[in-house]
Amino acid sequence: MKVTSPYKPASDVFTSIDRVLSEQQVLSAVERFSAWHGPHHRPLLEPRYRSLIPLTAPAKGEQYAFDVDLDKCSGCKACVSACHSLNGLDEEETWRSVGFLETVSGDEARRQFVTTACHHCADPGCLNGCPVLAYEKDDITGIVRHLDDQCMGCSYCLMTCAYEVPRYSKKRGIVRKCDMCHGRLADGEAPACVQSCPNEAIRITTVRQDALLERYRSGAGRSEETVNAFLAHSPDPGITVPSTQYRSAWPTADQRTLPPQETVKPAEPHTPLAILLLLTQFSVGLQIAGALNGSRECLEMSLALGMLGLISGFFHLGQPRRAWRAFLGWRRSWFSREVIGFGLYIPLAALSLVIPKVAGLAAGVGMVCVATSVMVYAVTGRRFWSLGATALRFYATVSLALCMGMWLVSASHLWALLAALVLGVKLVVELSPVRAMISLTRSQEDSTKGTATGMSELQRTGRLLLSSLQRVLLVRCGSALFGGMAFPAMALLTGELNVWGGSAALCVALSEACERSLFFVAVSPTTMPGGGR
Amino acid sequence: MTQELALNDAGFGLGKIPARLVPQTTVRSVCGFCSTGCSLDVHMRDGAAVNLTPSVQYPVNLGMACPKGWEALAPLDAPDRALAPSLRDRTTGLRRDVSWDEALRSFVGRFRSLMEEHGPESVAMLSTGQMTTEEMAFAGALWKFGLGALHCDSNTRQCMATSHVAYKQSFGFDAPPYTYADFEASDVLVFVGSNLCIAHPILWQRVLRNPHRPEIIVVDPRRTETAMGATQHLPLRPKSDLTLLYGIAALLIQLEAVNARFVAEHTTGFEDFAAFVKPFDPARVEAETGVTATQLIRCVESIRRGKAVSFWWTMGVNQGHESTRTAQALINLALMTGNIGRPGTGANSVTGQCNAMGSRLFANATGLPAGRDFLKTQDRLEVSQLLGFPLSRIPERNSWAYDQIVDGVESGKIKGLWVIATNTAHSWGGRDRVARLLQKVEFLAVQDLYGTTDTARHADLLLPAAGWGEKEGTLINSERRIGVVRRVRRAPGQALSDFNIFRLIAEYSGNDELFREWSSPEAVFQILKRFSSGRPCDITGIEGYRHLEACGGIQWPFSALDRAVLMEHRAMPLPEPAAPIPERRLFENGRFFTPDQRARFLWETPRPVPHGADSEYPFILLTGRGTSAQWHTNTRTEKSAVLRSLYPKEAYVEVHPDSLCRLGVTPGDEVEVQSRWGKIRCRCVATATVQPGQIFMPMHYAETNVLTRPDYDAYSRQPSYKYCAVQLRPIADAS
Repeated sequence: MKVTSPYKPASDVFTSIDRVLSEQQVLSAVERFSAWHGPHHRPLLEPRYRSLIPLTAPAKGEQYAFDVDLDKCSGCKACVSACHSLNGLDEEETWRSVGFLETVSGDEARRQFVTTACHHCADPGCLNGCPVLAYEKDDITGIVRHLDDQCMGCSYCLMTCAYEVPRYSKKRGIVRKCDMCHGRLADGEAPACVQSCPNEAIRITTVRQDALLERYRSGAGRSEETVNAFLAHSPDPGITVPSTQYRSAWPTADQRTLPPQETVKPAEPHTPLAILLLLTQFSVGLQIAGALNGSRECLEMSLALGMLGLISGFFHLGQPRRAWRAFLGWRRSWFSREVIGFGLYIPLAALSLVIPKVAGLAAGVGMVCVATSVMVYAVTGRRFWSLGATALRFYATVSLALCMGMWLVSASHLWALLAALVLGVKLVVELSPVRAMISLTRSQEDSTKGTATGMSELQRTGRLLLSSLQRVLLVRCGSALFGGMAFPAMALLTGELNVWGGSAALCVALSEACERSLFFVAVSPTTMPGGGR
Repeated sequence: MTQELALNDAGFGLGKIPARLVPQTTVRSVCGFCSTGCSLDVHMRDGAAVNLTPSVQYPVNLGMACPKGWEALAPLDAPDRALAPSLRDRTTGLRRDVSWDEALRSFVGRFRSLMEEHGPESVAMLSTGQMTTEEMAFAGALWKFGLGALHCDSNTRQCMATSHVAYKQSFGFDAPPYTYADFEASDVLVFVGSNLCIAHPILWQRVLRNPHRPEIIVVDPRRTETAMGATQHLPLRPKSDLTLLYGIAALLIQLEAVNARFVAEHTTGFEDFAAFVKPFDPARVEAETGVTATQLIRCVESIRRGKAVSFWWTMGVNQGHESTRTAQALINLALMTGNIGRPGTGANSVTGQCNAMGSRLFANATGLPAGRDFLKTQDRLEVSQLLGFPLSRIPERNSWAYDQIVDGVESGKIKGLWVIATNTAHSWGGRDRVARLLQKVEFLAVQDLYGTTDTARHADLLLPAAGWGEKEGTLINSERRIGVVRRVRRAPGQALSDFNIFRLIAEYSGNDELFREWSSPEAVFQILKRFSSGRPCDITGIEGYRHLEACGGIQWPFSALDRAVLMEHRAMPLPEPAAPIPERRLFENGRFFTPDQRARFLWETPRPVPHGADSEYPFILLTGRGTSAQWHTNTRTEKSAVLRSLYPKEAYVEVHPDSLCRLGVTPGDEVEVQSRWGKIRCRCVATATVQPGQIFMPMHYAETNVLTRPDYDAYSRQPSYKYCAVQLRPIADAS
């Protein structure tokens, strides 16, 4: 290879500055010094990591797993960088992260770093939730792989994974995640993180899947004991049955643990999803109203809102052209079932405009669709999105639309009273995280020793609602008051239903929009300790 | 898309790599962040570096690197690289891009006119521990011998000046005696003021590989990651280390753990030292340091029983108000127990920057090259002869130290300042004052990769520099190993290596004839060899860069004589160059570099901390490394998206949970921290790794040095960053 400088001087006179600038552009090192490294067939690091990976493939009922010795991890985070470099990830993309737990036993404080990537779960939440079958769990190795070509970028796996493992790439419009370097393992090479750990804290072992299920799912629901069997202050391992094994000679059971105090940040707003949920639920409510009172206006409104809602959903996708595949995951994914449901509901709602008798059927299907919407969020295991609370929120929204529709058509103020009641109950449920936060603050003030224990998921949500999301919460409550109480009262007093009733409906809609926005931004994701990111 | 991540065999012993990154060739280069000196195999495709992996066959890092090393190429791609020289317009006050010709004329013209008007003392250079040795030597020679200026110092004053002075006084030469194999050969390791685990993770790897189940003793006020990995942690009060170390010496003497033969044959001053430390009994140590008699006795017993005891220190010692004596208190312990010159022993300073060691030997700042003295006529004569420069060019006076230069700006004595590859406005204590002073300088030239550093923003003239990976030269690591860095990327725009900038300045200042021999880094390496000839750091046996690469770096000393002996004893002539034993330590024969070849015991009565904590400023602020992903002022490490994801973005202060409770602050809230010199606001984090009454802030955030205004060690003039009295307030109270 002939090495020449690409430098071009500005004029014909080659000055000493030109000479130096020209020399600066020559990579003399490559030409003169690279040859002697010579070719090597097997990786030079192999002797060092040979004992850190299994010699044979897993037997039936077994799978590969990350095995982390927490006491060996010094928190240098080389594993994160090496994974990035050796897998050629995008600039901002990382598949591994390192957080920490702090334990205090007596006077001795100990910071335990926790390196974490995909846990290649026995019952993977990402795979179960994926509507387009873009995940597969390898039959032999148990590695959970993401098939980038199939992904439509709905980000639902970010919610169903209890550990926030899949990362969405705006640039690519898809999600990617750790594949345990399956290509390396297949050839007897160690994954990047295993190769790069100076202290040999990460290794690959084989684990029995039934043993994992027994360990994390035999107890009744989430208990601290089950959580500690995986890792203290981590999400309930019963949700997805992670395969990673964390080891430490330091028991965490009797110790006071201080999780790091990250600033609580609002979550992704997922605005198209918020609009989709809100409008489809309004649509179902109005469909019921239309079925009950036979009002064509209600049915027209219902169809329009329903269609708008579904269209909004497309804007959520990174790869909308792959959206047609969204029904494929119906066997496991509530997302697919929601898609199929609304796919049936909208034509029925349209048909009800032609054949009014169909409205009842459409309304029934709509109610089932809302149930699928509830399940989409309830299965994520996030406390703020629990089955009860989410069902109440969503069906209350349906009821509000129903009440408003009935009130405005029938002019019976009983419906307005019912709407106010529904709104009231809803607000009480919504504000429970705020109450949890206030009780936490009180208990901290009362305590004399000042054990700064960490906040629970719901308390973090409460803190968000009281701090950075306070304004949205105020608008939510304020507009609920006007839409649910003040304006209906005015309608009652003045009898001008068109003016006050219409305003009330708009106010309630605004209030509900705030509620749905908070539903997404105030949720506190379940994460590994320290967040790390 | 799935295909994009598919892995291919890369060859070169690298294993599998994504297809688009499979290298056509690899080039070996020593990392340019810290002093560990890891070697990196840079992967080349189509004539440019695309990736890198840590070198497996290199005696330092054994195939490992910390996140900074893995991301070493990322800072080169930053969008805010300086691409052209820029000069501040006197009328508009704004900097505009100019040609190199105009920049160099302005540089030479302004400094020359300042010196003509106000004398050679009116200008100063602040340099770095981050350039190659050849560049440091060039900068120092050009500034003092070529341009005729007097004052220059570098940021190694903030990191290694203490070790330099301590070794020089005790051993007769600035000579860290150890090799990294000593981490693995000790049965007792004592770390004082060193968070090796986080600051030097690749060296901590060597500690964990120690097969002797060693006793690891960590002396640190904080329960650092290193302390957590230790078998004994002595959580002393901040800056009470000198008393503790004298207490250890007293108890060792009392327990008759002194190696009398070694002391008698190879040292001087022990009797007086023993008499001096006698009053430092365990009761006094406990009262003054907070280390209990039980802890002290257990530690001393371990040292007494140890067969190979090594003593290690870093910034916790070096950055103190009596740091030189503290370092020497550690040297004394090694000398009195005969723990030096054998595998697994030594009084060992772990260096900070990648080339602090090169700076200490060849930067021509505090002394003439290779440990020579400006005040000695003989040394000046030698330098003038070795260079072929007239003797009149070699100054007869010492330069001011960093703090004196900064004070000189304040008093108006320093009117022109040249800052190279360092970020004074962030790193020097009393940040607000420094920013004000940089405004005051009549002519400020800054040479850096980026025009956006806190210091570069103030520059009247910005000279765009090429970075690590865009130039060639050598670095010297903590264990005296000289390694090569290679040019694997083209510098962007008109950026030039520091070396090339110095060449041009030599020419523009009419010194081209004088510096004719200084034509390339490797040519200057030959000059460095001449400087070293016959000195303790003799490297005349090294042929050149190729030789260094073939041997996995070479530790000094390696003289022409060593090489000749090696060649003679080889069974048969081999085509490869002579390779010395890869891991070598000093003083194996017990002979030191003092005129009588004996090491000195040196001591002094401990002094209380100036500007200590009181009722108004009751908390003690400690500063240090935050994570392994951050480097110093974060100038380069903030350019990598991966590294950015590994540390908190905003400044924070670590406080004990009990202290927070007493203040009524919820963890995660903002607090106000005020010292006698400034105040800041930042988030607080509750952690029991700091003691109640102490708080900790990483140095990488600009806020930290708003608070510090250090005091200085009398001998090394190194600033004390490890103690600053502050008060802490909830924001509600503050406003």
